[in-house]
Amino acid sequence: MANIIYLDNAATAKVDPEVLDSYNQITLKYFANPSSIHSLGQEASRLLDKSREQILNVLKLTHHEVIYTSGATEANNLAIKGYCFANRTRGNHIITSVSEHPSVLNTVLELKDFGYEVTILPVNEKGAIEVNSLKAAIKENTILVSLMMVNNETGAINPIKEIGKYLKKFPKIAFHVDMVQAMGKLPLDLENIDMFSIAGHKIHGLLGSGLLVKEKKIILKAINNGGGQENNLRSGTNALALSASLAKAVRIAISNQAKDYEHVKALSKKLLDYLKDNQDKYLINSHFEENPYIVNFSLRNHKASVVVEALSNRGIMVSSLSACHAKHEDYSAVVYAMTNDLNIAHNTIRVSFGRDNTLEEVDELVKNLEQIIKEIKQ
Amino acid sequence: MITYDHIMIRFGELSTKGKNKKDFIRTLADNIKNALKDWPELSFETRYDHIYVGLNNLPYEPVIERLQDVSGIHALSLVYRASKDIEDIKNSALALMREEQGKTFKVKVKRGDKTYPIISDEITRIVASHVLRNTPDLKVDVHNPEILLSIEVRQEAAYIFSKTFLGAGGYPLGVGGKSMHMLSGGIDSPVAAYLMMKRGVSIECIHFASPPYTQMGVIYKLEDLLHVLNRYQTRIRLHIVPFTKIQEAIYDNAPESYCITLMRRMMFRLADGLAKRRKCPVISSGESIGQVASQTLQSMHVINAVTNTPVIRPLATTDKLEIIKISKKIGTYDISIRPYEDCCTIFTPKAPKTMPHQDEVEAFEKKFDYETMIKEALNNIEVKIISLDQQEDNLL
Repeated sequence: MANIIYLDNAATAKVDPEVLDSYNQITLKYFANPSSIHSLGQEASRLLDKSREQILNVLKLTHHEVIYTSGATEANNLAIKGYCFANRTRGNHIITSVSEHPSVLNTVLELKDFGYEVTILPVNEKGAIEVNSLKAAIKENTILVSLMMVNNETGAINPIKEIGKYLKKFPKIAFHVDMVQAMGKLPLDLENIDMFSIAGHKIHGLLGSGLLVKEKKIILKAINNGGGQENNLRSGTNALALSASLAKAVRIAISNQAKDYEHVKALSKKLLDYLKDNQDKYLINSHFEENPYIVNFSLRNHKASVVVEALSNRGIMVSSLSACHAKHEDYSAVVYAMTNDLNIAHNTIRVSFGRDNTLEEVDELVKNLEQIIKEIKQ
Repeated sequence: MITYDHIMIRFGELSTKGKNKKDFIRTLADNIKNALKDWPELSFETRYDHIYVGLNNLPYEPVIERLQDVSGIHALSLVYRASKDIEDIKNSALALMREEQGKTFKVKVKRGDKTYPIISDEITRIVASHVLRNTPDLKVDVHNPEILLSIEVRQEAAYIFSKTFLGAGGYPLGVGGKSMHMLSGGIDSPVAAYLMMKRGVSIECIHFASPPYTQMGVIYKLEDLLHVLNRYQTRIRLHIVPFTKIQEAIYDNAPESYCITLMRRMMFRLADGLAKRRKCPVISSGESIGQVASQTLQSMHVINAVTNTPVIRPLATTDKLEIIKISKKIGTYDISIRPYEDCCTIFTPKAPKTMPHQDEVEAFEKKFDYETMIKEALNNIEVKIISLDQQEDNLL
């Protein structure tokens, strides 16, 4: 395919050449093990320290530490299992939501087998969590609340700031936030968050890089045991090139956030305008125009999988279900939770923008979507 | 909307310094320009008792924050420069007051330009009544106003301001000359360096490295420490003296308990030699009385005996907790506590002398040709320049 129009940035975003360049340079130049005490190892270790420091500086955090992981799935596992196992004496109740990424939801559900109680919050018709439902779910034995800031399927924004502020009243409860779809995209307020996860490949970094940032005072139990790397929380030789390139990706994402946001806003407006003009054919599932990065809609009269395939044949890449669910279920649980309509949940399409997309590409998408809908059977 | 467009910089102690004042102000102005060179949009104006930085629409917060690290500045005010026309003054004052948070205010006027036809009291009345008449809920409170609106009428313009920030105080860096500072990488020596700088003394640093007993990590640590201190002195020269041979010779020729005393004497000889070469009239260090064996008064006496050059010890009487507090404030603490050994902590004797005798020390020193070794060490110094504009490699 000659001209690919890539509109699946929420699944993974194309690596920034500058980030890749760092990765290559570091791989060749700083190849020593950062734990070795010879000077090459020490140089590697120093670069690793600096990368952590830079991430905290860029995010304006002072009482925190960075734990590098292989991605957000591992970071979410470490945050949830690590916190629950280390703080079992404080309680055993976890609160999360139905719209969470499987790396959170399935991890929390697994903890049921280990004697933890779980409350799964519903979402409202806009796809977001209600602060009141969280307030009602808190119990004497609650120790962890794990919620995402931005939903990966619909782009819905949860009231993280308000929840964080409220949870400060409960010193026993730690607040973990999956920041994967928010980092570098929306303005962040990290003040009352104890831990958060980031994936490199969603911010034009490399696949295989991710991190958990946590307040220093939060105690976790390691999930990977071994040589004690990452402050004894994630053993295994640190992949310096991945870690340092992630620091760069974070820096670029944060410094370009405002500019990219304006650009993507224009893209999503164009698509939303078209969808709003054709509401007989489409139902818009994204209700937060403050988040222009994800536009999710359902086909009222057509099968989404067929339309996605047809778009793909024309070189336009969009998602039907989020890639993480795609292989297991055939409808969107999040959209189902919002609409209670199986047909709508079956036929969702997610268009997710990145900073490299153009208005012309949105025009192409709209043009082709219009044609395909006319051509294929209902 | 009207916004503050200048930062007014007030000098600290230097207003008492008579004929040297011009030099002081020139040095301070240079330091200020140097500290702010990341923002080419800023403009500068040096006048007899203030320096003005023109913001040219830049946000003021980062500029003020940067300036608060420049020594020799007493206070900083965010000002609006109005013309001297009383109509302009009162209207600008009103517009600025409308942006303020608070319920009570007071107007304070200083008439630096004594030829100005309206006296201070009269200006106060004109401005205050204009503000009162045109704002719904502001009241005057001359004792505890929430907003203190100051107006200074000067030769060139009238300045209106309500926000004043404290500066770092001290003297402009450089007016106090230059010191050869002994930097180990621990908690104390960076704090002592900071205090020297604050007093207007710029520093060069001397460090003693004993590879392979000491690691490269120490040097990285020093670079990081000095990088923090670059906030106060934008360019610092670090001299790394090879100390291994001297240290080995000491251990071969003196009993263990005396080794620290001999080492410190050698270090002062080296610092003295380098200070002379680099035209530093003094040596400075982070020593604090009684903190370790080499810092008892008797030890200091025996160690200091090798040089006539004044040794300034800004922390001599400061206790450790206070030193730690300063190091946390200036941001060197977390770097200082990184676990690397320096040449003072390797081969630490079990019982170092706290009351060394000079005659004994001299007898041990006669046993080896330290003078040649010192010359050799001074000729093999490695120099690193640590500066603010050092671009980190673009890897991150």
